[in-house]
Amino acid sequence: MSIIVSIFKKELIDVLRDRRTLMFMVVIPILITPLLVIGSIKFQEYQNKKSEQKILKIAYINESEDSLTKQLLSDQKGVKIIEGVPIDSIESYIKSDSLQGALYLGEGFLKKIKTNSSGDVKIYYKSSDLMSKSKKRMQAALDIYKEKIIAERLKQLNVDGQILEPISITDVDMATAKETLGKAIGGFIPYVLVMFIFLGAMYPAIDLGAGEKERGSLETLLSSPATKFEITMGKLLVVSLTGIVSGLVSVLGISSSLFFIDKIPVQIQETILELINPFMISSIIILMIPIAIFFASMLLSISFYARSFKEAQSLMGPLNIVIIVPLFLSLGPGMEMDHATALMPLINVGLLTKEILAGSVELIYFIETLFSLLFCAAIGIWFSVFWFKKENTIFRV
Amino acid sequence: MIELTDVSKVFTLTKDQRKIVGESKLRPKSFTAVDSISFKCESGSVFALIGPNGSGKTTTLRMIATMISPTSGTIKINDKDVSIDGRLARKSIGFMTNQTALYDRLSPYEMVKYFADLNSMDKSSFDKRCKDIFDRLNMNTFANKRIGTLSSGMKQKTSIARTIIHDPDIIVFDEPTTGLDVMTSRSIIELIRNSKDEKKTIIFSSHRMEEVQSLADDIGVIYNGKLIFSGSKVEFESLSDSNSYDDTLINLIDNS
Repeated sequence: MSIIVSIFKKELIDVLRDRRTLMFMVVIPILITPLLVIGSIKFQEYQNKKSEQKILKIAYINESEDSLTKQLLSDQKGVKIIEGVPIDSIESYIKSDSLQGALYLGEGFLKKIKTNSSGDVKIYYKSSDLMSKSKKRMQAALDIYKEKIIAERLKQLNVDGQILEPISITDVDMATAKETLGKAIGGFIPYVLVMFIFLGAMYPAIDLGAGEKERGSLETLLSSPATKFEITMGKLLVVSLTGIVSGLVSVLGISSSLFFIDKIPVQIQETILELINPFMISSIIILMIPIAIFFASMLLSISFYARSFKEAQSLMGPLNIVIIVPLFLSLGPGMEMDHATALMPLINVGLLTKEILAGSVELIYFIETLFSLLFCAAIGIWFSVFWFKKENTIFRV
Repeated sequence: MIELTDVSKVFTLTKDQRKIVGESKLRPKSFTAVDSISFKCESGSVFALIGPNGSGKTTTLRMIATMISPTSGTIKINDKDVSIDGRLARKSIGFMTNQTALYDRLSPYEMVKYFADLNSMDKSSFDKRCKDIFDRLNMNTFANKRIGTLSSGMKQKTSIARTIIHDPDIIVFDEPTTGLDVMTSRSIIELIRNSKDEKKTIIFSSHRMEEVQSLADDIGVIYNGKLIFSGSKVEFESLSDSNSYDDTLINLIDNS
């Protein structure tokens, strides 16, 4: 045990003196995550504002005698009506963005409306143009038109409008603000957390495995009385610790960044403070430990196998995808925490974090998730020790 | 004392290695790096293991240092089979290569302390031994500087201190002076001489025949994994009329 402690202490000092490790472990998570959060919110705000303010040029082609649609369309905010555009030019104008949409009322539209049948209207737009809200604005004008016509028709028939509303629905949302917010940001947090545990562990893992090989110091270490098990464990503990620190710092970065966003109402800020409680922090840390050990063991195994620093980096790259996919799946619709998903590594982390943040976690799922992660960590430790003991791995040529 | 009896080492080849080594239809699945070699290095003597590149010198030294296990045969360190207790064997070994194999972000003191800890040295023994070595090698002026900032000579001294801090009975040198300048090589040659005076068992591999001539008491010649000669320096010199160790080695290989 004392040899594992000696290796752990030495590796920790070595890692903490390395600027690149500190960069990946502390600086990037504490700077990047707030920038990511604040940046994406600000960017979204900017895009929304820009899209709201954008004046949309909409062609209005009316082959009937109706005049109300034009008036309703022009009443829409940010709409400039262009008339006299030939119908066969619409497609090319919209594709080239000379027009953002077109509203076409066919011949006999008004006649059909007056005879209580349906008037044909075509709206042209480009759904791929995310900034354009032309469809929404044309639709809004037509909805007002539709309501007016329905009201007129009912009046003619002497029928109360209530006949069209057989059910009166009142929304009663039982979710607390904490639950709603927890579920909303709960999808984002595990993603950042897991990615930063991985990134924080990656560089030290390369340095302590392939780096040692390159320097020739691994050979000297192997000639010392330390066993291969002790060497692996000492290194594994340090790599796991850097992963945990990196993950914690990233969560701290996200949490602190939320207070720098000026448009978050005080009530939401209070809810966020409520979310960051000792239970939430300790639960997340408990989950992080086996994840970090599992990642550290996989990364170290690759690093031991690689001949050089560069080879280790290129071998570790694809692992990012392996990690992202299950987390991505956990965000999917219909993905709920149950006894099966609680045993699926990483998917369970995504789902459980949402539950923890929403304050609705069930103990059985927490235990099952933890059991599944601890199992992965144990397999990871066993594999990295087994792998390090293989002569073909260490002295690979 | 080191004693090897019928030691062999067979490596399983990977798919890519098989393509390089063999013909298309007769690709070997394994490669015998060391083939049934036996020799003995006595305490207080220096044994030089020589041979061309790829002959099995490093594999033999790595087996002695228990970094890798022999496929067959026995290796004894101070009459104890290393396969029974590798840790005990490694406690009596100091291993050194031409690479300084140091950690740039540690100081020489921290580096040496780390290896003392790995050898379970107690604090008072370490303090005494460390002071002695640092004084002898004039290391006190840079003992607390980062290794990355030191000159190659200072690094080599640190590497020597790391190798001998636990006062090993046996020192294994794998091509210790290859690629080093004259001054740095000299510090290693001095270490070998001093260790011999201290009655330690020394085994080293080298391509520098002048070093072998000046340092070795016994010589082993290894070629294609087989030990084609093992004997005293006098016996080695008597193999050829030439005074050149290079010529003697080449003759031995040609006649094997």
